[in-house]
Amino acid sequence: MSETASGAGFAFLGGCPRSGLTLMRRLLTGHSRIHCGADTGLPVAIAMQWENFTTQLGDLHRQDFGLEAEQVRINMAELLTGLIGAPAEADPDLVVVEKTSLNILAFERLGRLLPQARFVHIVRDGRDVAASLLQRDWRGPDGQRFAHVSDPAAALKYWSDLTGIGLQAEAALGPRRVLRLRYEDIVKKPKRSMTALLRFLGLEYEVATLNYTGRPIELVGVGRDSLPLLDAPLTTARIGGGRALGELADEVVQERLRALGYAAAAAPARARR
Amino acid sequence: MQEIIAQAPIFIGGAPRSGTTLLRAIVNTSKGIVCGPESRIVPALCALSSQVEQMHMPLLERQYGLNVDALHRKFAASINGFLAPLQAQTGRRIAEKTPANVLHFSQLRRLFPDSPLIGIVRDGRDVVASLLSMDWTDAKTGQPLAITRDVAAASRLWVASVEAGAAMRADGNYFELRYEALVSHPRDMIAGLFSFLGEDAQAVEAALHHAESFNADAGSHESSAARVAQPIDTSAIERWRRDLNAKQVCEIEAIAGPTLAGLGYV
Repeated sequence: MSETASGAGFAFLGGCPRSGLTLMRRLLTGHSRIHCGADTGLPVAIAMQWENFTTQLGDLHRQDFGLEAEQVRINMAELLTGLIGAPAEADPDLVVVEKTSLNILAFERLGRLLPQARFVHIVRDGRDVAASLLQRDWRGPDGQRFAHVSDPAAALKYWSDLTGIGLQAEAALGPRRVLRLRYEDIVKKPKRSMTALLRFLGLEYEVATLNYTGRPIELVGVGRDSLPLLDAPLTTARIGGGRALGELADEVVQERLRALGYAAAAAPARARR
Repeated sequence: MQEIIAQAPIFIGGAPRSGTTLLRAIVNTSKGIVCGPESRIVPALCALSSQVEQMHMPLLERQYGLNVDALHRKFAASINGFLAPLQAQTGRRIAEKTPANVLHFSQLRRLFPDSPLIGIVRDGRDVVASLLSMDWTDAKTGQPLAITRDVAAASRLWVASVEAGAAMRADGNYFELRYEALVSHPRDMIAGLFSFLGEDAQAVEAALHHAESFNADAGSHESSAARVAQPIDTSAIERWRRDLNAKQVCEIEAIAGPTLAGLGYV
């Protein structure tokens, strides 16, 4: 299997938006052997298209075009890695990391499409995620704010649904393929978190990952929302800000919080110190 | 590594129910060309490539080192990868016929600068009448497709398909033919088409007897297969006079009137 079809050397970040994915990109871009660009949305689009071809047209393609399922996978895998893999063509030692938060929707499919790719699921306390979502002004084509940025219960459900899909992918692909990182650990113990992540990617820790001030990155789309936060030093100040939303969490959300180790109400950052 | 296609593939398209399957059967009689049933790959990948080009190109160029030419090459290689096994099996040049190809001819030209593009046009009223008799459903929802139930939706698709083909008329490697002319004067029309494709007079003779070699069992998405397995006739011209009521005709003409007039159908 060619490397471009296997996904070796490629990693995908995903998680519920407002969980710290852009912060992670900020950290990773400091590493000498990582290329981590802004969100492209391509992994989800191509994985979904691959699944459509496979489920809806697989028999037709095999019978009338001599196209075996593996050939279809290779075609779509090489399309995805070809579109985002130019940095690695120039420097084969680079690990290309694609960070689109909604990659989480397709982790499992991407794991089958690219059997040697790695995945990083970033999670954050759902109450804090919901609080951050509720500060967004994200609107649909109809001009209306999305429910998950305007209604607290919908924000919590959005977090629970996306995180649940991520947990399913973790179970399906296993710990050798998917690493779960908690936002709270990243900001409280950044060196330990980055060391674990880089080891998972087959790389050594580099101190430059944490020395990111003065090293700008280009942000696009909703990633720009994080701009005011990204040039500041890492802080634990944004842990626990959504504690009050816990009262609105239904049983499903509560169970998800417990499963991820957020059972107790997150204490305010000041109290933790 | 994706397989290589020796000759640029031929792409055939047109509004659904315009005679694209008949065209496929005719092209398939050539000893040098093979045209399988609708693969439905090309419209999907063209749509994706257009979307990426329109929405993400500056970002991909700045942050991933991918310029627009490379983007086109990547998508072309992917489409070729889907077509290559059939070419390897048959040793013949590939023609790909999916009606919706026509909606993506302009993007296909960017992806495949040397590919012949063939569009077929039929009276929009006959197209709508035929669409309304189809039982096509959405593969995901199982619900009937709007173009098989809604005159306006069917009319809009016909207009979009015809206009997408018309936009290619200045392209030297685009060939357009009319369904009505093809079934009324098949020898002349096939001769013109085959001349465009570099096929000889012997191939034209074979194409006139396409029904003898057409495999109606191939594919699962060609509603016309049984009919195309019969010799060419003109019975489907102006079927709309039998199949549509006055209200439906008015609704079509309200949407497609200028396009029908431009093509000389009204």
